[in-house]
Amino acid sequence: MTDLWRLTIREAADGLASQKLSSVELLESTLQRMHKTEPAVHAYVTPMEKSARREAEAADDEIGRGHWRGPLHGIPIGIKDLLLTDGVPTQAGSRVMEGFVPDHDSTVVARLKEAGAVLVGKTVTHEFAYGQDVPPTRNPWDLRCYPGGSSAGSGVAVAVGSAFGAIGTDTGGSIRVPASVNGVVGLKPTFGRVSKYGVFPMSPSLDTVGPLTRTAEDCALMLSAIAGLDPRDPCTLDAPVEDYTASIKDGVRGLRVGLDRRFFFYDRVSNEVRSAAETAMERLASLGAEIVEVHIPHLEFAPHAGMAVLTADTSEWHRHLLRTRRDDYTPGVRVMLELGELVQASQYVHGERARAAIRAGVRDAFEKHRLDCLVGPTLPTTTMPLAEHSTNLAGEDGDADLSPFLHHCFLGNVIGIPALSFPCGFSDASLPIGLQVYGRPLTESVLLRIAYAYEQVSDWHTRRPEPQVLSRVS
Amino acid sequence: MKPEQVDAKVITTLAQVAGIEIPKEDMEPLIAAFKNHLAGMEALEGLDLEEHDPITVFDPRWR
Repeated sequence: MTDLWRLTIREAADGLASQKLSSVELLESTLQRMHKTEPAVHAYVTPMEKSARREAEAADDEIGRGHWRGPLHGIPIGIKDLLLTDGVPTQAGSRVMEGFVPDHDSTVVARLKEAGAVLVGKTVTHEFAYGQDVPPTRNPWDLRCYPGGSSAGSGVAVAVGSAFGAIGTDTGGSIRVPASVNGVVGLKPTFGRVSKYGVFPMSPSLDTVGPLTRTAEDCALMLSAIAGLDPRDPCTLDAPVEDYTASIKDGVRGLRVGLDRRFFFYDRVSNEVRSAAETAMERLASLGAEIVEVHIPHLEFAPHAGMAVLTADTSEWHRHLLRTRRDDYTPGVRVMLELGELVQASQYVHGERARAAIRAGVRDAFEKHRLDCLVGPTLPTTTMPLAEHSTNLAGEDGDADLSPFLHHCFLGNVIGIPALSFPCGFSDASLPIGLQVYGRPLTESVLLRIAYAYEQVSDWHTRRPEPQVLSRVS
Repeated sequence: MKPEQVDAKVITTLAQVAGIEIPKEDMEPLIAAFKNHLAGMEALEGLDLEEHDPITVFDPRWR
């Protein structure tokens, strides 16, 4: 079988556990796919073929001796180049970190290694995850187009099959945006559910780490492996880690799904996205979910509150580097770091106070309407040609109008709730469209259940970019 | 300060207070970014925040 890269993590894991497949076979198929697609999509900054082969052989040896560690054992996984990886260059997409090779692992990488995952490479990130530069990664559905960010390489690697799953980080949408525009599943967990120790930071109160996969079940498998308390990250929550697959097949009957049309279907949402999201919601309703129209105050303030905090937080970490390595940053990132230096302390605290108000509004709506989740499109549009896409976080000159790609996503970081993006359609131009569900804190299992139920009645998540599209330009 | 009042002089003064130098080529985008920041802060004035404490937590335990 030459197309092993097409398997889901669950299918591959079943094959490995029963020893019908080997990790080496999975890896070789994945590497072949990587060699075929990389010249076009550039998802990886540091492929790790040599060490991956060693890890795959070790996994096969261990499984052969009857020690199957669990569903990630022997599975090829990509890691965003923002996570420290022992002995492997980790450069956060920046010349500032050129030549940096950490001597220890981030907690998430360590947990993946403990789970027996095979690390196939470090995936491309925008510089320090700020999303202001244009990295070499391209969208596999249309190579002229924006691949999402900042976990661009992770989203693309999973979409094309050069990884079975990948790790991303999300401070304002950086897992969900690439998930949506590449047609894969991406989970921003509850703040503190997954350790951010050993991850280049943006904001200590907005940053999250999470998985990108091809299915909801795979996402659940990865989350189960990486979640949990970590003494090295004081923000991690001391809450039990569930088996996130345990209730994934329970269906959506009786779930109350909140919809705030004013916010999630505002005027910048394209007709194609609007139509795909509406159809997906009707599908969920036909499966027994109850769609509840709600109006939640203050949601539109989330990006402004978030930016006041994000810019200052990020600049604080870069304080020394901005003064000593200024010219090694790309211009867009440098300007954002300079901006963060100019934010007044009182404005920062005001942003934090606004976050509390926004959180209270969402919490009250969940309580009042007995909601299990909120739903809406992940993004207002599909991806677009890089020439037309603005990643400018500074917005237009003085009109406070931030990138529309922040509009639906930043809320999750600003109030710390979990959010899951999964494929819900394609545009006429064959570009993926994502649906996003937000949950109460620590209800990732509910969100995964919704996505799983939807996947059982749709096939969007099974579509992969066609190789001839890739080879046409490679 | 109103967003429209921001100019190179304002940015230069704030940058001096912060202790950074702004390269010439960054001045124009930084003016726009700072105007936008102020516009965002103005937008937040639309919120009634009286009953909300900032989301900042201080944990006095030694770890």
